[in-house]
Amino acid sequence: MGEIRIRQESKLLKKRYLGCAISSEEKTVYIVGDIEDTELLGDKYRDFSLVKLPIISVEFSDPRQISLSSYPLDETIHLRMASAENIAKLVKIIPLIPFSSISEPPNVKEISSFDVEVHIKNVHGDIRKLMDFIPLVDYTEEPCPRIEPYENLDNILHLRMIPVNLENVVGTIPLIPVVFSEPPEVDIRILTSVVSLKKTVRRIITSKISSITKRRALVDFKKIFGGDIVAEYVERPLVILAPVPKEDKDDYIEYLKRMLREIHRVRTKQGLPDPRDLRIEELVKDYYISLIDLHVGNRIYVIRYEPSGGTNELGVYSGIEKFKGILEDRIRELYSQKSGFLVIYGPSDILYELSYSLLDKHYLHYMEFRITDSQKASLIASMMWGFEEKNPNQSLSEFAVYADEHYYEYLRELALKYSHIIKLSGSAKLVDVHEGFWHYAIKAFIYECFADKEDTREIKFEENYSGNIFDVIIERKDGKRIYIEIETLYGSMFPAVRLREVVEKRQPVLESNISELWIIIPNPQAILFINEIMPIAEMFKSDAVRFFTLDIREKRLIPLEYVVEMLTKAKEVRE
Amino acid sequence: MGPGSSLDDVIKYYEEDSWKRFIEKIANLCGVVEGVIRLYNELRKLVGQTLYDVINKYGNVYEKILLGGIMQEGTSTEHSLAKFYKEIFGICVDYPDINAIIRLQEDGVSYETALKEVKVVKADSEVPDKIFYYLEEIYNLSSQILQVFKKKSEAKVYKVNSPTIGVEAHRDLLNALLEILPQYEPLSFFIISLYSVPRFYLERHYPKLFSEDVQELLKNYGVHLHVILEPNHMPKQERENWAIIGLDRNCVAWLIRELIMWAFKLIRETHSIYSKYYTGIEDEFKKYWWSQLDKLRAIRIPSDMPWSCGRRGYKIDTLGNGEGEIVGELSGWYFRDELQVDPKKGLLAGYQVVSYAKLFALLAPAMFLGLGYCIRKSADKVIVGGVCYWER
Repeated sequence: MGEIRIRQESKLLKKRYLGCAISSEEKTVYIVGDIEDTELLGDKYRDFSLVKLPIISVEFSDPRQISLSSYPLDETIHLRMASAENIAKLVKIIPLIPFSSISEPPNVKEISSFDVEVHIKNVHGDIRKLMDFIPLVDYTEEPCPRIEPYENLDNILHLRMIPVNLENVVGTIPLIPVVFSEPPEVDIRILTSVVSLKKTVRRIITSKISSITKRRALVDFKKIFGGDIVAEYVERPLVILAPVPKEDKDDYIEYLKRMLREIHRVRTKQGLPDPRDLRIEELVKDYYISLIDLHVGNRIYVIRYEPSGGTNELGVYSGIEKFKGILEDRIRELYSQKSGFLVIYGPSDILYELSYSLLDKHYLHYMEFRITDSQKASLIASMMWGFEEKNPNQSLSEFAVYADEHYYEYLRELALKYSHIIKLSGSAKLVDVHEGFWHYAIKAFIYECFADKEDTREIKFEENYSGNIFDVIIERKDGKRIYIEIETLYGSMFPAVRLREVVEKRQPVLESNISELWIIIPNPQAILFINEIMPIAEMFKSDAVRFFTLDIREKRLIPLEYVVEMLTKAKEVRE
Repeated sequence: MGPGSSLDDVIKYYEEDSWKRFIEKIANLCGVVEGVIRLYNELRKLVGQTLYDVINKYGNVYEKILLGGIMQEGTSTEHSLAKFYKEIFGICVDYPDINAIIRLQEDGVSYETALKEVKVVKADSEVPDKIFYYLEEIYNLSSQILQVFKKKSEAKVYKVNSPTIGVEAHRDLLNALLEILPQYEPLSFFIISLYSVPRFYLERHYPKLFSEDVQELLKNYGVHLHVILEPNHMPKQERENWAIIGLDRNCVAWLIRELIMWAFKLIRETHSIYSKYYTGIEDEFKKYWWSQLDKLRAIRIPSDMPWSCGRRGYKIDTLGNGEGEIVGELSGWYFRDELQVDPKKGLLAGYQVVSYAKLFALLAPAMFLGLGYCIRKSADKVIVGGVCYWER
């Protein structure tokens, strides 16, 4: 006896009073937790001196073991205190107070284990008092609500009204020449949506592509976003038609912009794309428009078209011609520009108009983006930023703005926290190599995940091992060694090629059965390029090579197989 | 009626009419559930058939059931009927097949011909199966209860002659489930309050409960109480007062309690889906247990009461169906302990004596409200758990 194990105060429980030990002999109150003075404990202890222990738990290793709190904590420190024996003899235990309820310290009464036994022997009188003391509870019968279905359940058969797509039937219907005596009045209405037209074009393109590649997508982004931007974006500008959702809560444009940023950084060597977000209103003067640089190369160019002039009798927006005029010349220039995105964010009928009157004529590399499976889209968003949880009331745009910042902020804080421990990449080679923020911050994340683990013996950074410099090496107590490479994929163009090189170069280092190679990929890239990463993961699966991304909420690494499983098994919700 | 007086005025467990009405509600629920189960079976027979065959064989109503509210882009409207049948009954036309209907028509094939190409499939969702499973459980329990009273329920008939028949069936189901929940049915509350509670506390709430004629009536309606734990170390009179009594596992009231819990479960786990199609549906379980917890928190304990039962555990636990379910979201401080029953000393936690009276004095209101419990594990062991409410 004589040793008190004191556990460090948890960050979460800081400033919460949890209990105290009182030594009458020493006239001392040992406070566990945070309390300002003995007065709060009652008059009896007014003259006692106060010793505040920066702990939340005291355990006595005496056979009459009594604990003030056994709240599970991470760290244990052993301290020797001169008065330990006295405390053990004279300790009076104050019952613990539930954490959530502390607004002021309770007026406590001392009970020791001896008191309890004495009390039971003389229990009769007290029990009577106790029975009377317990208050009764009440019951009120509530009126039972009546559940009724919504009146506007939709049983309309919209599919019966699909118009025939003339493009498909031309050539099969004989053309009969008709001669009009007078020019006829023709009223043309656009019935097919941009989706159906696009699908026709897409069917031709995808059937060709699929016959060449034969590789099956693991995560079908087309079913989630109406198209697969990642697959379509290599080398040349991509035009994205993004219909404005009917309600603000369905807004997604900020989410799309951030996806495009990440796709661009991986697919090109140009680094961060130059952003443009332009609102074109109908009444913008021509001379002003002519000043706008609509060059798309290395840019994410978002044009928000918000018509304000209303529609004419044919349902066409009155300002559309002017808008088309602005775009037409620029679209003609796209054929020879560097990679970049032109996003046109506007009403779907205008997008349709643009697709057939401009894009089909001048630039065919375009696609439509539309959230067709909101649940999976939200899941992808959550995964893209470290599994941050999306509030159901948040739009995807709102969530993306928040989560993108939070992901960065979290990793930035970690990078700063451990900057005295973690070496910069290149320091092992003694040359000045610039290491990117994300690469460094993920090393800090790995340190955060593994430093406190029981089975971790040592974590090394930028260590040279058999001619390879590894970002991180974790040596475990059981003798196992985990080599970790962080791969941001930026500038790789084809992630699979980069990853294969990385793995093949380092694989010979692996000693069978006692080591593994882990490749850690930051979330946005890992999720968006999952279909290109997984074939590599499969290829090296049996060779102790594993691929992970980050779960910043749970502070752990998540295997990419799990990401695929979540995305393929998540329920499909079409809105 | 407020705290401090008995509940005999509001919960008429001593009147036969109350029990008759209650059993009627269970019979109604049983009939509706049976009807809904039959409707499920009827609709699920369609799986594997082409839409063209289904419409020709069974009528146009199925066209609206399977395609109502599906848009030309292949998406569905907010209150689409087809979406309802997909999410609740688990039958639908697969997304690629809807695309095929659209594509074929775009290519000039007639709508009717396009329907030959598409099949009715089972939706890729666990919810309909879960609902069906719950319905079977509810049906089994309610029909067992009725059998004891030699009462037969008639299955409600839901004929598929209107596209909204499924919506009507589930409306009836949800309303019948609500009818037996404790916040709307005093006898359900009564049964929940009998799960395990100190006898004197029960007597103070229900003064008529232990009178001979009431006990006779309750036995007729399957409410059997037995002693779960007795403080043998106490004097005789106190021993009886402080005995923990509760529902016998083999009695009908136990089944009714199970039935109530299944009703809670079904609504709890599916209300978010139902709320897309129905007004007035909420998580009744959460609502109810929170209100009970509020009652518990309203009890103020004088500061000079020496509670000794806090101990260490605070594991989230269940009060629902015995072990490990449902109550996970309630905030508060939970504990669950296995205690040794010592004939001389009373209850022991390890080698430490726990004051029997103090422990159950503290727990009694929680036990009465269904937020605390004492279960007999073996001859010399009990499991005690519940929510603590030391808020002052």
